[in-house]
Amino acid sequence: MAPSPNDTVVLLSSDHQRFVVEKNIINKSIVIKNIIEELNGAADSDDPQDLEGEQIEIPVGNVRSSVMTKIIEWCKHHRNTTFPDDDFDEPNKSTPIDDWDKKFLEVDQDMLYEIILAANYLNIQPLLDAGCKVVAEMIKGKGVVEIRNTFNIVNDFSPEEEEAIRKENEWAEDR
Amino acid sequence: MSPNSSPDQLTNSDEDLIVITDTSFTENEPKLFEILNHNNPKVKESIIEILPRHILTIIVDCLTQKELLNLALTNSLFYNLSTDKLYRNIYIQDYKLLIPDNENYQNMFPINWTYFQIPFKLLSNVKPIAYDCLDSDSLKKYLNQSYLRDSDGKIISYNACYRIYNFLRLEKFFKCILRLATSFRLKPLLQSKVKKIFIDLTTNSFKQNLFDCMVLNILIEDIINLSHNLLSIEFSDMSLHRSLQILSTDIRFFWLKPNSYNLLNYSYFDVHNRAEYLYNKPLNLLQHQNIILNHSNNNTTTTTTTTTTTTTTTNNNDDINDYVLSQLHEYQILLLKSSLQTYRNMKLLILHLWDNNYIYENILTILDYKSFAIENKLNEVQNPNLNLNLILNYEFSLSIVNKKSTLFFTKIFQYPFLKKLTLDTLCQLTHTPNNCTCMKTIIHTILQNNNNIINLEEIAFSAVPINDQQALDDCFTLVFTKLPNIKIISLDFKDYSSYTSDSIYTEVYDYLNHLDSFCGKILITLKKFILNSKLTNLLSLNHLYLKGEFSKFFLHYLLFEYVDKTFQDFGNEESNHQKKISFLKQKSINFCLCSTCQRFLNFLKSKLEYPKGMDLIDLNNALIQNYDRLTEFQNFFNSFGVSASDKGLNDYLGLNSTTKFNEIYGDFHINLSYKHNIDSKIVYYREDGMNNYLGVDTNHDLLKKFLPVDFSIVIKHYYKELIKTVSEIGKFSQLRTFAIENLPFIIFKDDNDVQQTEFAYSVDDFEQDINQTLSDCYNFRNKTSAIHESFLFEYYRIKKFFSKF
Repeated sequence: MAPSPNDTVVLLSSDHQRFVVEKNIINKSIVIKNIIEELNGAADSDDPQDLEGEQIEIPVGNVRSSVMTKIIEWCKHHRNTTFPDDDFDEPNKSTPIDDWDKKFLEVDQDMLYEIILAANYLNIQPLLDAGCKVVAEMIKGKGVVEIRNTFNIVNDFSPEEEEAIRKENEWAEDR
Repeated sequence: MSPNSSPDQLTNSDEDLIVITDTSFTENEPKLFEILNHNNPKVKESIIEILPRHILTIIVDCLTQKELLNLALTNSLFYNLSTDKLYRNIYIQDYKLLIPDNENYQNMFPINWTYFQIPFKLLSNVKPIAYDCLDSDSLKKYLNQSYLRDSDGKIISYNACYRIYNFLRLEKFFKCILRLATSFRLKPLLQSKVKKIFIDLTTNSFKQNLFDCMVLNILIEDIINLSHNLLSIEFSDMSLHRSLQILSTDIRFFWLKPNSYNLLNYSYFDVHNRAEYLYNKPLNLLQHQNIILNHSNNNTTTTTTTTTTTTTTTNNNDDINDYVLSQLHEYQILLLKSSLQTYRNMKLLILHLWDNNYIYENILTILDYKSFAIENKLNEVQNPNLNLNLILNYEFSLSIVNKKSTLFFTKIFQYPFLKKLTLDTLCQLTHTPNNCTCMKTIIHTILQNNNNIINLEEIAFSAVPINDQQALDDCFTLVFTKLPNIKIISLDFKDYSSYTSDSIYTEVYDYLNHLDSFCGKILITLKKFILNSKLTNLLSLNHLYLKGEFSKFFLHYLLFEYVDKTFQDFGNEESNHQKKISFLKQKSINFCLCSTCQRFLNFLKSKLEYPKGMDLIDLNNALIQNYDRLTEFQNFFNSFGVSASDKGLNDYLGLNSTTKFNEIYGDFHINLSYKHNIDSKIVYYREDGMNNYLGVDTNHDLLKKFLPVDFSIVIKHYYKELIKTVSEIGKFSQLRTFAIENLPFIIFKDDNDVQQTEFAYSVDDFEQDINQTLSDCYNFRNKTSAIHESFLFEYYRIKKFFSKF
């Protein structure tokens, strides 16, 4: 059974596509959740009749439709998942990525960045964490040059500076 | 959609999702970052340009230490992000803690800490440790030395390997500390990144070396001073914390110059003995020369490169001066943070000296050096630094006694501000007659040049020869009549006799003939000296320690008597002797594996090696024909078996009846007698005018119950008499502690047991003592006994170590 308009919101992507999505799914985004609550609160306090029957439409100008699709997919999958309340705390950083998330984030690098940016914009912390962990995974096991190549990082060190940094951090090296 | 569905299965046609396309937009909308970079869409953007810094920070926070080190080298932004995390929480761990035997051990550490990396793995037994060590190229080179191989070319002992392994670990730990300190010096910004420090060192390893303490203190002090973000410094061992606090309140350290990385480049194993080993350590170079501390109230911040100043000495030591100065310059050990006048405020100069050939010219040079406020040569001191305390820790080696060393000591003792003098042997194994001569020479030299030692406040001699009356007299003369400002006297008496030689045996036997001659000798001599000599007014003397393993020697005496009476003249019955023998047979008398006891046991064995077939008379006066020495040998050692009185003593001490003393050593039958525990606590303690006798109370139940009559006599007659004498001498009126012997012998694994038992030592404390002694025993030229002791040492350590896991 299709959800009623009261149970859904419309997300408007940057490329002007409309995504109708259930509120309890997109509530994973703290930003959207707050907007919905604010609008509902405003409706309750003012004239409840005004918004009744109308679907809430929220422009998400920083997120393209293809990314929005992925975001909503993620939210749907995790609709019943309970994430820790606290922010990205220390222990979470070393927790391995959820298998499904890992598979879900097996996208090209550009898309991965966009998902991360969207998760950041929409304040979906677990997705942001997962995305960052995937990027971190891409760094693991790579040498300095490989990392630069992978992420298009421009080396702005002189050889002397690089050597100085090596020396500087030598105490922490595994020998 | 099923919660278990694969992301691949998701499409826009999913029934829960309705997508309404606005046809006014093209389907090939440029991606977000392409919009941002529309001027040159073909150039793929860097992650740095796409993701904001706070997201990059989250990514960096997911990385481990090793990955951070790589990332820091990629780009200046990532350098900042990586070092933010790398330096945020620093975990300084004990070099002795091994890393679990797991290839991915790094993953086992919490990701939010940066560890000092320790390269070796935890190994389930000793052997793999040895073989792991053998994998090291440098170690292979080292092990090729003949003294580590037997005639078949095999490695003699993996105990030796394990020791090397520990050396390696210790070295790496120091290197880590040094590197970190140097990085902080180079770039103070790094210190501001530090938020937490956890110091997980055992006090044991720490106390061994003031230098470790210093290095750590430097780190911490610097971080405290320069970091605005430091939240906490935690210690696994609070006593360590206290040690650091004490140090940091009184003194301020100086450190080497920032760019002295070459300091760390040296080879470990191009050495053949401890002295060379230490000599070759740059760290030890620092130890050789100085630890320089300055009072912290000097708030000027000028960096004074005092080492660039040249001296104007014109003596024959110019070359040496240049050499030392160049070293000082190279390492900038004296990187003073305060003004040029710092040396006027310098409070303390500690000289750790190891290598005789190396040091005594250097130390003269240092003292001669302007920065130390010694304007010219020692004998021409014109404007000395009145605040400078000089501490001399000298571990003399066998080669010390020569004209040069005499000159050295003569010079040293002319320095008017020597406050503390510690003369120690290189290690227990070198407690030889030569060392005895060394000590005699040194004491004699001091006595001959005593005009300037009146400022000495603390004196500690180890290896004072007990079998040399002149040396004893000299020693007592020095400490009790020449040092009016002395506060602490610590004398450790050693017996250098060898029990294995018949000729020496005669000498030993001479002073074994009477109790007075052995454990009583020193005490009697001291008592006579105190009563008959013109003592200096020793009102400043607070602590007097007499150490000497007296009870061990007394035990030896009793056994000598046993052997003597059993095999020579037990036909002449004397009730006392019989009592001794019966006592010895029923008591628990086990031996430690120290060189003294081993020599003694060897002697006993040699005494038992009667020619086979000899007729003897046994203890019951029965004739034994065709005496079998092996049987007798076995009988003899059976009579010194495991104590039957454990239970009684345990009951007395309120312990569980199953408590095992010296449990860790149990496998080796090296329990030490309870007697050691008892007489180790003969302490006279005066506080607020109240005199207390501990352990010498004639009504002491423990004495009554467990000590033989003879032994009680020793305690009562000699110790108590001496204590009484000392307490009645008015010149000792400020004496707060008078301790005769202080040896730890009852050991518990569980600290709770220690707390419940008045005189017990914890494993850690005992380990400290063992460590202190045995870690200095690494003398390959004396490999037989060294390995013997190191075996004990390592067994203990390994067993203790594994008990942690």
